[in-house]
Amino acid sequence: MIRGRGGIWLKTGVVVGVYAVAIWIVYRQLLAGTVGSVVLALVVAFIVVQSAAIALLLGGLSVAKLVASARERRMRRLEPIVRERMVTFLTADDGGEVETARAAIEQEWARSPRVVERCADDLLASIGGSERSRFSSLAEEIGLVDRWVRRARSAWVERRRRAISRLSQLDGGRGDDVLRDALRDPEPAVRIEAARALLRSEKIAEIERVFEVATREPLLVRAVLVEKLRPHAGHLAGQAIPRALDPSDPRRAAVTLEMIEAWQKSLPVPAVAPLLRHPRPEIRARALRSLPYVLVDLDTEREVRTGLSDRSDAVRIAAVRVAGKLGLETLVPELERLLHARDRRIAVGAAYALAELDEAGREALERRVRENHATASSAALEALERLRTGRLALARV
Amino acid sequence: MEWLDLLAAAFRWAMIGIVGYMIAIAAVYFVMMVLGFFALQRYHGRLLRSERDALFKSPLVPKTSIVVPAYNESKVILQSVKSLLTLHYPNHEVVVVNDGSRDDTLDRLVEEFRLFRSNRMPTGELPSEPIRGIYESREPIPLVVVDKENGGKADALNAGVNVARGEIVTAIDADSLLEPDSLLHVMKPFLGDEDRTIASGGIVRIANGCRVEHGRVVEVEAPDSLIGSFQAVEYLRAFLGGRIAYSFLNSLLLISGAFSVFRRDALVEAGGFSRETVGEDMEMVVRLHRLWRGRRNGNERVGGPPSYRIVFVPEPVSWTEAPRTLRALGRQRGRWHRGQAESLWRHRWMFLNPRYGVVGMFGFPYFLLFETLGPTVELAGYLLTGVGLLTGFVAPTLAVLFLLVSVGFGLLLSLSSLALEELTVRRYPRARDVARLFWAAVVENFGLRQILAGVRTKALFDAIRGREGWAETERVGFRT
Repeated sequence: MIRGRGGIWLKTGVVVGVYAVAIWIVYRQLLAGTVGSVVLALVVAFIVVQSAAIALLLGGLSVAKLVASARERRMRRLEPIVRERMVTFLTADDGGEVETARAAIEQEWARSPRVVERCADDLLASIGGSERSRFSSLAEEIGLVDRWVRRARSAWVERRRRAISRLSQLDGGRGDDVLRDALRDPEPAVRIEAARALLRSEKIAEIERVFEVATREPLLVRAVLVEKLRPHAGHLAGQAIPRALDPSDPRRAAVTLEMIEAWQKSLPVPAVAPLLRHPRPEIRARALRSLPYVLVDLDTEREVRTGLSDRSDAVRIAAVRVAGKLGLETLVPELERLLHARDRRIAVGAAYALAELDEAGREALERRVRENHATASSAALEALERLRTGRLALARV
Repeated sequence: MEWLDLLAAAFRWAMIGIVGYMIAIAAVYFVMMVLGFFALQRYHGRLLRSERDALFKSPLVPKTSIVVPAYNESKVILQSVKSLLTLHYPNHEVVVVNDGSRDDTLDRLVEEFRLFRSNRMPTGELPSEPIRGIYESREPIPLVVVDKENGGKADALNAGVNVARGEIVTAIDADSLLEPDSLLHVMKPFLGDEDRTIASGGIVRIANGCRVEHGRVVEVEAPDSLIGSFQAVEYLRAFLGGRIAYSFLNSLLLISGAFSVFRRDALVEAGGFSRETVGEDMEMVVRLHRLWRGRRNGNERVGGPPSYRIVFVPEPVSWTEAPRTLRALGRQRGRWHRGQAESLWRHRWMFLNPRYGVVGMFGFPYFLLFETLGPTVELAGYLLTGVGLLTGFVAPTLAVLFLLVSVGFGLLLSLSSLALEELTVRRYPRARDVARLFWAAVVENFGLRQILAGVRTKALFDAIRGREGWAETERVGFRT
């Protein structure tokens, strides 16, 4: 099946083609002899066809609505019965009773798989331990797992995502292969679901796999996964993070540095040091911003000082932030100098950094407020006001 | 009587030309609607609750500044700001720009949000009228109010961008109410393709008739007036039909100024919103296309696939108060049409220019030939039909053909867009509302549409003559 843009073009072409044929048929069969003008006849034929299409569409919608509501009513009627049988299957002590419940579930599965599927989904979300294990076995035996595996390869995104979500609830790694495959799904929603499911397994190999995938994902997926990966940051700092900080893959390195900064956890990652000298400014800026969180054997103050005089605005903005965050009071003269920067974002950033540097920084700001330089005095005034009102975080650049 | 024969022939050929033109418009609209339908089916943008929650907590979601230009918006500004402050978004600030209002817009904001005059420094340098003062709240809320000399909407937006501190700038109208998750939804293209997405926009709907509580639409109803229902249908037609297809083709020339999102550096690089047109939203989008399509870099050959995206997101909803009288509607549509004509004229070199890819070869010509000139051609068709029938210059068959093509096709397109809404988005829960919209879709073709074609034709001539001015919008406020 053709997916994506090609599929949309194909379907559009087919619909337009069907319309053209329908118009031609209406024209030939009904209008060719009765309407004198060919163009007028074709226009009337289009109107007839389009009116019929609208009527069909609305009729179809009404029928679909009726069918859906009838199905929903049936499900509401059957669900309590199926749930009760599932609970009996899990809790009954008597073997005969368990077998009866199991047979009833199988029977219901043959008649209304949707009802059993929905009940199983709800139940799996609320049980654990041996109960989950037993129910997972049942799901496998009656064919639920096969159904979910098949659906994980469906053309419909929502169906795939839901199947992945359901497989992730099974015990004993039953759906793990499918989950790993789903990490390569073209749809981010499915990849996110699979990654979260694999993280829930708490297996080190899976966590590293998800991290590897996350470093190559767009921001949408990273933004969702970054919090899920946070508890595993310490472990990832061992091998996975240093591997991802390979300077020859700048995009991946930047993404990894971004995650380190987002986690705000102290991590032993010496691999950050060489990135401070990377030829690409965005990598240098990211590396600087991660400095407050990495344990690395280098002269931090010297690195930030170098960053403050970098050619790139992005690197200087990063450096002023880090200077303030690390409370590097020896950098006050450099920060004061940057209050005069042409890029006002750097001036404001430097002022905020000074505001974070206690007495020395405050005095510098007060000096600059009186200065006859519009940018420097305005930036200093803003930072002092923020400091006084306790709102430094609100408008940071 | 040779000249009479000549005149009759001229009439006939003019009518044939107009009918051909109207058929071409209808055919393109129809194909775009089918394309839009399938593109909408492919759209899987709806965020799951768990994803929303994760994004809401994520430190990686970029900071967004919502810029709200306000001129005499006293009646709606408090509801609007409250709605914006409580959006489900992890990192946003609201920048209201009081564009020299003559009413008590600023006073109401100062009183309600306990504002004080702050020393915040504008970090941008886009051209704008002088700022009189910047206010912030004594409460820990991310609200900034910029009070400036009157300069028009584009000028106010530029001032807001200068003061904004987010990497992303969202421009919205003061009379708009956003749904709680709408910002997160409209940001999705930026999150999904962070390197290429430079702008996005969402669906705007009519709030007339809906019940609003604490700045939120809590009950969706179709407008009870015919004018309101007509606009609701028109918005559906524009958003669900056209814009999805244009976005699919990466040739979207218009993101509604009522709810549009831009990467701040792209906005600044483009020089900010143009103060010389009343259609600053369209002009900005066309300018971005011109800049980004026209640029040569290592990865892109001129006329080849673009290295940027301007995306329409069919999910997020901004609710807006639509004009309630024919007069106000006419003024608004006239202004929009003039803005559209001005924008296209300023960038006329893009017309059929292969350097600009599908934008130059399809999007731009479509907007110019059909959207901008369409109402004038249609109006000419009505006049020629009337005069031609009276004088006998136009055969009744041709007159019937014209009416069928103009009114009949218009009717079918409106009904199709409504059917599309019912099939996909389904925001009107009650059958009564859908029936009301169907009725409006029928009635609009008999009078209202012709009046608006007249208004747009006048606006086109105003644009050609270089007439300036911004007609004020009357606000009634939302139903609470």
